[in-house]
Amino acid sequence: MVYVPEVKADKEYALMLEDVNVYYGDYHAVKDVTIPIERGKITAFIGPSGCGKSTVLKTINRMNDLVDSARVDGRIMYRNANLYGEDVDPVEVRRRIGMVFQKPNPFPKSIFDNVAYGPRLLGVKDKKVLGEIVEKSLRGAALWDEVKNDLNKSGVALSGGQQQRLCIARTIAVEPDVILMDEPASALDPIATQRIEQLMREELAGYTIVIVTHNMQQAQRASDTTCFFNIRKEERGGKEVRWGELVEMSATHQLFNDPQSEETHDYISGRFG
Amino acid sequence: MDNKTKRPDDTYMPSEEKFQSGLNTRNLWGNIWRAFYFASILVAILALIVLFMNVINSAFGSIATSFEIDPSELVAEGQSLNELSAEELVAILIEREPNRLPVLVRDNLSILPNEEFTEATLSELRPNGTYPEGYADVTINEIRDADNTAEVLGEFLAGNLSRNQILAIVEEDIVALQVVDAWVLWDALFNYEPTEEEQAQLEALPLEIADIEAQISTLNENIADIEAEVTTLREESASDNATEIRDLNAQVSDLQSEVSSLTSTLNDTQRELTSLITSNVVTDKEANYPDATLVRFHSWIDGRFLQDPMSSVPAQAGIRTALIGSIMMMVIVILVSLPLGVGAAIYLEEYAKDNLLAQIPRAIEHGLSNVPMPQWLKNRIIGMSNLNQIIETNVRNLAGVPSIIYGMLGLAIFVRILAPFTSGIIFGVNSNPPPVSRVVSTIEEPEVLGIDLDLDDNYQIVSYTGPEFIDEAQAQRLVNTFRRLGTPSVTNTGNLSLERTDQEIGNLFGIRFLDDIPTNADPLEYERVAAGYVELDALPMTLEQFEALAQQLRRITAFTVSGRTVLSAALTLSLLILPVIIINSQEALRAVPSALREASYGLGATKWQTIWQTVLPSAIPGIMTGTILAVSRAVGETAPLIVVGASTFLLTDPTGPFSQFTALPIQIFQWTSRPQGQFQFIAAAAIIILLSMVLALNAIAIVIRNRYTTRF
Repeated sequence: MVYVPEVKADKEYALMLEDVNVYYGDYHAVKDVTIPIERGKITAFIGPSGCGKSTVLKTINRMNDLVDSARVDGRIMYRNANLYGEDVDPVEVRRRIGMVFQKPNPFPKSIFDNVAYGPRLLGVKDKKVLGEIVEKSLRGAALWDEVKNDLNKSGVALSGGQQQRLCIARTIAVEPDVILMDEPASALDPIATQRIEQLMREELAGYTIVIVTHNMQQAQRASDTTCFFNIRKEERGGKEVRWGELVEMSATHQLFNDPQSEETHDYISGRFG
Repeated sequence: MDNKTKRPDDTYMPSEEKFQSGLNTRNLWGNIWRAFYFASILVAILALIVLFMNVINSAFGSIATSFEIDPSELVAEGQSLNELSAEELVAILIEREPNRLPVLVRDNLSILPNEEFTEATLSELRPNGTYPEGYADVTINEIRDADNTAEVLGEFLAGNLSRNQILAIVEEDIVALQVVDAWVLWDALFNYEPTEEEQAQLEALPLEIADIEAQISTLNENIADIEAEVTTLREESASDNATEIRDLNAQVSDLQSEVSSLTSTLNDTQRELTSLITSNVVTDKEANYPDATLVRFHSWIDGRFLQDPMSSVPAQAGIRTALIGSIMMMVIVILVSLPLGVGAAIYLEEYAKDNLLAQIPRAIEHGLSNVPMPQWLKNRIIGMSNLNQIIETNVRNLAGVPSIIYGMLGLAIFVRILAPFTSGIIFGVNSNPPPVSRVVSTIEEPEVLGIDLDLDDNYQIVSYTGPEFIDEAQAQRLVNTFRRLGTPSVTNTGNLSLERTDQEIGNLFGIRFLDDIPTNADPLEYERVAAGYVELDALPMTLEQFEALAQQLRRITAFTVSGRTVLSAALTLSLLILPVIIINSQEALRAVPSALREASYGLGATKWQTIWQTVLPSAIPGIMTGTILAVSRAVGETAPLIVVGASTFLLTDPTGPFSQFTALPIQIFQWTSRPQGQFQFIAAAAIIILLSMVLALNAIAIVIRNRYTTRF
């Protein structure tokens, strides 16, 4: 039994995942995931390790294409088009749907060049325009005040939390519709984590954000909607086969206070995971 | 309670005593291995030190010099040659060697080929020069016939050469400074002068020898006297004087044994004296070269050594041509192998996973999924079908292929097959002829030769007319002979020395003879040419006919031989280090964290943008380090260059990629194989230059690695 809210006509959806299945070679990693993601809201994916939440996140901007053996079935509708349609260029997808990674990964370049990287890829060359984009993006990532005097400093020289905010600034510099965050705070200390959560709530308000997190409090604090994924096991021909499935998707306060599924209840009350 | 009862009975761990003794053994083994490692590094360092000491020992030392004419004879009292002006120096030349002046003009001021030299006017010889008044448009021949030849040519020299150039000519041609003997640095430092003890011995020993010699001669006189007495007694009456004669004979044999013992003492003493004399520089020089000047410290590496071309006289030999050759090759090697190697590495590392070849193992894996066969067999089949993997493995294997095999490859491909390209003929760079058939048809005055032939591309005679005594088969043989002679030295100037009797024939090849370098011809080339002459002798041709034919055929040989160029060698070396560069670049690319690639893709970069803007900049320090190390290996390579055909004796500088060449390792190899001792000294000097080049390259690599390595 999967609990997914009905799609309503009065709500606006940025993305619709419809029966998404992910395979790595012969291995069926994620089964039949259907998620409607609302525009302008923060959606959190939670679940135990190996439940496929990161895998689903990566299918959204086709980062899974970089994995040799990965294959995706099903549809991800974005602006009335299937992202896995035949005439869709993954480069186009990734420019619209940005991503922030688990470990801060700034380029070994200056802060300015880090942020200007995306716009430059798209052909923006005017130094003045780039300067404006950089300032706007750094302000958007709440980093401007800290680095405005040394934009030529290497991005790698910043602290972990600053690096992650730099990566967010870099992502919003190309003005994406959706930002995917893969455990963005898991490598950071509590204070830096707090800054990131605050950033999502304040500076990034209005962006459609999908965030994967291990931290249930973070999901509770930061997200509007939460999806709980779990691992399924089955004996098949003497071997144990595992895959991930979506169990429940609800408004965050409802999922944590009044889960519809027994499994969800067990997980959020700390019985496993 | 003792330890034993404390331990649970079912433990597998050793007892306390066993553990203690076991621990001692373990530590002992650790120390033994540690000593072995230390010994290894000690041996390595000692070997290096010995190597360096050996090279340095030979590259510096003492020399004894002599000259044909004492410089002090050439100048006024209290002056030295260095203080003279250009005019005074030329005056010395005119006084001492008036007949050499045309040669000096030809060697130093002429831009024309030798054969045109005598017909040319001074202004043709050296455009834009200064000429003696009224002689700008007079030919060398006319000047030679004039009375004031030496004055005119001297003025011409003085007007167009710098003072230092003229000084060098005077020192070389008039003073003719020669290094008659040389001693290594060790002797210069520690065995230079005899010690007091040795000095005393050196003085005492000759006296001792004279004393012994005197004793021996006294004894010999005594023996002669006694023998004379014996003879007299015998003549008087042998039987009466028997006792006396016996006594005297006994005396003689006593004296003779005394003489022989003295003689052996004399020999010992003389040997001692000789070894004393040769054991240090000063006395050695005094004994062997009493007129030579001793220079205590002489460095075989100096400015002149770097600037002078080859010579058969060690003291005048330099490494300029070799150094230029090595540097030119290094530049070409970098230009060729860096883009190719990095390109190949990028393809293998970034693109090969997606190419068609990569589909094969996947398809096979898919096809085999339902076939009943053991898994290991499936894996083996899939592995063997992975051509990308096979290519990569083979690149790695190529890095281990012996360099001489690359030399064979270079010889076959660059020197032979691609000769028109590597010789520059297709670019019209070399002074080589247009295609053969056309050259042959444009011979001047063919009716004088009586021979007219046309060759196809394989140098086979297509049509032939000639005098009766040369039939077509013989002419073909002649063509073949010339082609076989087709070695660089045949067309090169001054590369070859032949017997004087062959000189006339040799002239036909345009060979400039250097009478004073009989030993420096490459023996291999000499034999080949000599073999050619035997065949030519068999032909009934007059010299004129031979000359005419040779002039045509010389051009053909020029066409066949010119692939042995800087470019061929550099391309061969590029091939040699290409696998190393590919492997190093691959490692550098692989070291770029995949997080950076993901970040770039995540921002909407295409694959090419990701590689160009993120992966490559991060990998460049590693790529540069690997490339420089590979190039420093190429600079020291010898074997492939020998195979590709480096000249062992080259007087002219390589002027471009299409020139003949030699390189530092070749030069060193050639010098060390010479029997004359002084070549070992200049070989050591050249080794130091080569080592410094290689070490400098390595230092650059280290600096790049330390300074520019990106931290992620």
